[in-house]
Amino acid sequence: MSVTSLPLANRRSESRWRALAWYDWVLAGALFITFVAALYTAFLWAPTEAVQGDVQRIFYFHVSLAWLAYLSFFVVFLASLLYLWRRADHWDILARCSAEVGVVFTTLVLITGSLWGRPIWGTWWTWDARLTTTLILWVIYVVYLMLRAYTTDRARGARFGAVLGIIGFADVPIVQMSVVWWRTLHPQPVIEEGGLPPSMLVTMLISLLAFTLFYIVVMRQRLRIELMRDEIERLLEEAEG
Amino acid sequence: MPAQNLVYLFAAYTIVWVVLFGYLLFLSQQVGDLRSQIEALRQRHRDDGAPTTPGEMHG
Amino acid sequence: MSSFARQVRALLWKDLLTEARTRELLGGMVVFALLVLVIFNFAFDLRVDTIEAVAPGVLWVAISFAGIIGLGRSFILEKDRGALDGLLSAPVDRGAIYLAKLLGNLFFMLVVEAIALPVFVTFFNIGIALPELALIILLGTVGLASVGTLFAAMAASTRAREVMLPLMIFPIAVPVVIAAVEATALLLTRGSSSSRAGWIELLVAFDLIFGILSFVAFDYVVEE
Repeated sequence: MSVTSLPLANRRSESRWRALAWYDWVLAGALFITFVAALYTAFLWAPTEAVQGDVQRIFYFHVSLAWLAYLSFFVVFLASLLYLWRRADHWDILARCSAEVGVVFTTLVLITGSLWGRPIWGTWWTWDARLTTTLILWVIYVVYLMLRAYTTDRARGARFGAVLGIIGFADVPIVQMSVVWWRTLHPQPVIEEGGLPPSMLVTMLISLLAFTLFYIVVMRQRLRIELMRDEIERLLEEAEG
Repeated sequence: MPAQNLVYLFAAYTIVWVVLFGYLLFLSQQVGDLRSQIEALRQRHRDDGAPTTPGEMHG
Repeated sequence: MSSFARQVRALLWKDLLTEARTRELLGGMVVFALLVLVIFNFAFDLRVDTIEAVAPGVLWVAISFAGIIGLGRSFILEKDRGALDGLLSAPVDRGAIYLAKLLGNLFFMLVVEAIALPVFVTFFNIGIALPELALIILLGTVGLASVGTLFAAMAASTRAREVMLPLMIFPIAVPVVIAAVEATALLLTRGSSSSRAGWIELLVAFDLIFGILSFVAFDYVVEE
């Protein structure tokens, strides 16, 4: 029953997802610590903002999540390019997983933004430049996931996804530009964000770090799931002879 | 009054935590399930005896 | 004429002839666009003072939605009849297929717009510089059609194809819609011409960037 009794292909793929196991514990530990630090700094350490009061603390998570969302979609963009260039499956898997996590982040950005907006602006939603762009971003990548789900052929799904992943990301700065411009023509409530005092900056950076670690941990789990699914498929095919 | 707004602060953070760690837990559970599935398949594989000759039936 | 251009011309002609015989697509698009224009009249209480605010949006809703109908059909017909595979197995440049489809879609949309525009001007009592409006409409249509043709090719191969096409086009084409509506609005209200020029520049930039991107990406979409 030892690993060496398995055929060679099994052993290689087994080591691929087995080997992910040990230093994930280090990552998980770091994640936990950083998150506690992020909570502490955001809630207790950072000074209360003068105008908005304590509600402003949502800002630390809200902005960090937004950054991570952009990071995730940038990874989708790169992975999509690499997939079209190299056609290796792992690029496609990377793109798909990052898109999924990115959508989770973006959803949270929208929710926290809305929860922040309600007490500050008095409304759950406003067509503020940032919220609008985030909404469009959310739609683009939800559609990306739908496209992957609705394309029956796997290779085709990978190609289509890659195309959308590239075009979608290329579109984001243009959407951003046009929405910001549009909003300056029709002014709406905007979050006043001047320069940050150092303590707030530090809090923000810690939150950013926490979410980045979260991204890495989640991606590793997600990738492992995909590898294991592939393994199961392979085993099933083998069993059918 | 700023004090009342703490509800929103609390809601926002709670949602973020619940969603993020719920997602992580969900993924970890999937990993566990898949792992046992793989083990089960490997077990069946070994019991049936590998490699197989073409045309041989498996139970 | 280069062989590439000849291919484009042949493919385009084929699509135009197919449509000329049945005319169902064009008819559907025109009726839909007119319907939108009429319905909005009831949906918004269009008194004289509010008309100018609403008109640009209405125009572009009509154009985009009618356009989606046309874009969707451009590949579905071929996909269903298996003609797409036949086309791909022939020694035809993929880029030529894209260009032919794009020009065909563009042609249909422009025809629909040419018909809808006088109706729009009448309903909404518009009196403005037609050449510049035509330019804005042309640029906006090119923007919609360029990504629309690419996405139509993708959508045709998915399961929920009628749904996937608009879902793909609209978020990506948001800059086009914003720029087109704003430029039209500024034209209608005789607003700042420098802002108008800015929006038109945005349209041109979008058309160039995404026209090229779509042209290149099409190869990857139809490779089999």
